Amino acid sequence: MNRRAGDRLDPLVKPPITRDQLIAYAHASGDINPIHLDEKFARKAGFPSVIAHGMLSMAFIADFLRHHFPDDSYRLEHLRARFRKVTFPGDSLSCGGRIRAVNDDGTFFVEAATTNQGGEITTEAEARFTPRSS
Amino acid sequence: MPTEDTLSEDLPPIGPEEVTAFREATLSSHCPGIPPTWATLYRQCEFRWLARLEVDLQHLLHVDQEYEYLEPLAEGERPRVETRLVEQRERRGLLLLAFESVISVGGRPKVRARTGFFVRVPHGDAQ
Repeated sequence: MNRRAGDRLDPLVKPPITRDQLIAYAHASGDINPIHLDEKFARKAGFPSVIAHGMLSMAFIADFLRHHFPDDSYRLEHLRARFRKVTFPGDSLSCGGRIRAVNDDGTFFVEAATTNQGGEITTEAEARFTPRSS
Repeated sequence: MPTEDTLSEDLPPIGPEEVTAFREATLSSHCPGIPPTWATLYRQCEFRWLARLEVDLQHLLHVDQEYEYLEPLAEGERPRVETRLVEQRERRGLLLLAFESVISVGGRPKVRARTGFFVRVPHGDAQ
């Protein structure tokens, strides 16, 4: 694959977040903070409803990155996410990104983000991949 | 104030059913095996720290997560996590907390994690 700095990565759109998904994620991840599960608790915290786990958005980004940098060809060395805006049930997240830099040794530095249906960036991320052949 | 105090926990073996449930919940169709954010399962010590600091979960916002992958985790392995509080300061009415964790198997570090939280009053803008 001949990719260069500045290249954009084809977006990956995830289906809208559901409350059932938040419950499934809470059980699968062990993050059972009621702000993700309990409407009353979330409203007392100042939100109109439960909010999605930030780590669910990060998992979407990881999946998006793995789509473009498959595990059998690239080793993921580093992944960082910053959670910018809350995501609610019903929100639909689109993952996008670009290659920020490529080193001579084939290391890729990638920027990615999730954007909601309103075009707002909810999570920003950066990742570093090295080719498995190196 | 950061402290040298480290909380640790030995964790159950990584089971295929748990990995499948995590992959399904995260819609990780492009991540064969154990997805990159699997390490989020090893945040028990962060929550113990938060309890020790008497943080109200209602006011807790997860704002930053970072992983450095040293070696892949594999099904059947029994991880151990060690977590330190590395940052605790106030800024503009928010308490900033950061934890660093090392997830190791058989004494070999496999994943380093850094987690950042804000503890806020309601009506914030992060998760």
